[in-house]
Amino acid sequence: MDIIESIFFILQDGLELGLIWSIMALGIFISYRALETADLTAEGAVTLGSSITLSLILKGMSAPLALLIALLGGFIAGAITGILHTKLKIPAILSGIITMTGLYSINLRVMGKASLYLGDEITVYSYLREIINSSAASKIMTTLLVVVIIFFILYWFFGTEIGMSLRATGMNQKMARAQGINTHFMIILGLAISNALIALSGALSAQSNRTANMDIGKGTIVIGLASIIIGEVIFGKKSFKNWLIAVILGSIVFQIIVGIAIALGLNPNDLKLVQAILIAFILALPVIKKTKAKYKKPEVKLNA
Amino acid sequence: MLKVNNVTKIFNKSLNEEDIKVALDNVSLNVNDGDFITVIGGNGSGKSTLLNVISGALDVDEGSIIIDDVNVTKLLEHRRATYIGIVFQDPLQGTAANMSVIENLLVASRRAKAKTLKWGFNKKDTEEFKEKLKELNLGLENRLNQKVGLLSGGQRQALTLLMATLDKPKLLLLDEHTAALDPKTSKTVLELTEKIVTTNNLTTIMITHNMRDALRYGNRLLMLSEGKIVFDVAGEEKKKLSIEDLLKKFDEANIELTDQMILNK
Repeated sequence: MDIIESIFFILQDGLELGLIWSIMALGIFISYRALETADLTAEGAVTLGSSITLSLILKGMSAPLALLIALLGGFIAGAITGILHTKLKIPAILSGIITMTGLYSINLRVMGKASLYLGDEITVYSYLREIINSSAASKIMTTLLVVVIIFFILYWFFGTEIGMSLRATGMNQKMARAQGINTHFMIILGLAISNALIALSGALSAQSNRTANMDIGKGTIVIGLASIIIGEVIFGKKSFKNWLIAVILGSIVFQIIVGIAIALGLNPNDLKLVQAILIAFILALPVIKKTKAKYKKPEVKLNA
Repeated sequence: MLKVNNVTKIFNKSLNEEDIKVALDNVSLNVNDGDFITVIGGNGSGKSTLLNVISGALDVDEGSIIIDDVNVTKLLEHRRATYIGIVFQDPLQGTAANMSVIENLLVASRRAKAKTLKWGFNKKDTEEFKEKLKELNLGLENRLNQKVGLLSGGQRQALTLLMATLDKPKLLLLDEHTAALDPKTSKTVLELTEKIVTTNNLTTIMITHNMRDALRYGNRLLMLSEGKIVFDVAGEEKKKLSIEDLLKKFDEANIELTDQMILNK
């Protein structure tokens, strides 16, 4: 009974966290997969989203509006990285690091201190809580609603002329320019949308936990990448629609795996190290496979 | 139609004098409407640079590029794409591997237009693409939703050719677009090229290292050497040219033949 109960809680927590962070994973997906750029702005954008949304709620703004402004904040941060990279020709990784570093001070300014707590202010999670008599269920439903909306917007966007141009830019800039695509604009737009989603994810997390601090963004990229790769491996990436769904589900699976690891006795302090090793291993898989194939003994076929 | 006026392009400008490479040396070229020009020349003769300054992939150091009375010298590459369709040598460069055949064609069909938030797919385009793919005779019309990365080099190059000409460009640039293909596929793609160019009456500049192809196709032939046009022949005079004539010209211009050119003699 005890085991079944703890499995239930692991799944429930995994779903709750996985859904919130799936929006972040979709953001990373846009920079890393669609644009093929490693964008470190993400680490600062999560904190930016959470700090903006909570400080605005504390100032009396309605929770949904505070969510939208957090999204806008991430959009601007991403656009800045994009401009540094395209217009000022700073390498993508450095551009992200520059914005991320700047965001640290901005986040402190926005919060006014190292962490924020909500009292009994209304968050976006309060509305369904009044109808549904379970905190976890109402949270899952609320986030699911946001995720579904984001999914449909992204699916639509990447099917439009601009969305397809953005994907073409990420895959082959030379081809994109030859097809009349303004690649600079597409990169700026893509990084802006990516970080808007990441900030939204941070804002949802902050409203869900009713707290925000400077550390919330640590490890964002690794978690996002792990979610994407797990999703791709388990659920495939046959079509673009399929791919987006795989990322969302990958995020949930990832959080469940983390939950299981902690339940089995993994010290939460060691979590980041385990994640880092795991992602290094997954990213190195193609090389490992190749080396293995090289040293594998050739099979000798015997003609009986 | 296209005017290249006194264009000079220099590489390695900041280095020592002996490292300076003059890729185009005060080149002028007047291309008439409907011209199909083949361009030959040794390695480093400037033929690719010529194409790249026309397409906007490279800036010129001096001179100007005029397309249909519009001075495009300062226009960025993606803006010039309004006028120009281009096929590169490497089949991987002309298409987006992770996008499907139809998605690549959709992107190409909007080459000269501003990109909007309009949904890309529609029945009319799909039918048109199928029609055009059928003309390629490669069975691609049945593989619309397949990722381009799964196609062979020849199929990708044929698709790129279709993409470059889908929204009829004022000028078609072909940068040794069959050099990376095997001889048989190369022939197929070249025949396809001629068909598309003649049926659409496209003004075309085609670089080739194959003298036979340079003679067989087009109505005008240019030979480049050390950043200069050393030979420019058109019409009947071009028709009468033989490979021996070309070899003699190469000799006169002191052009070292590359292995590839000798093999394709």
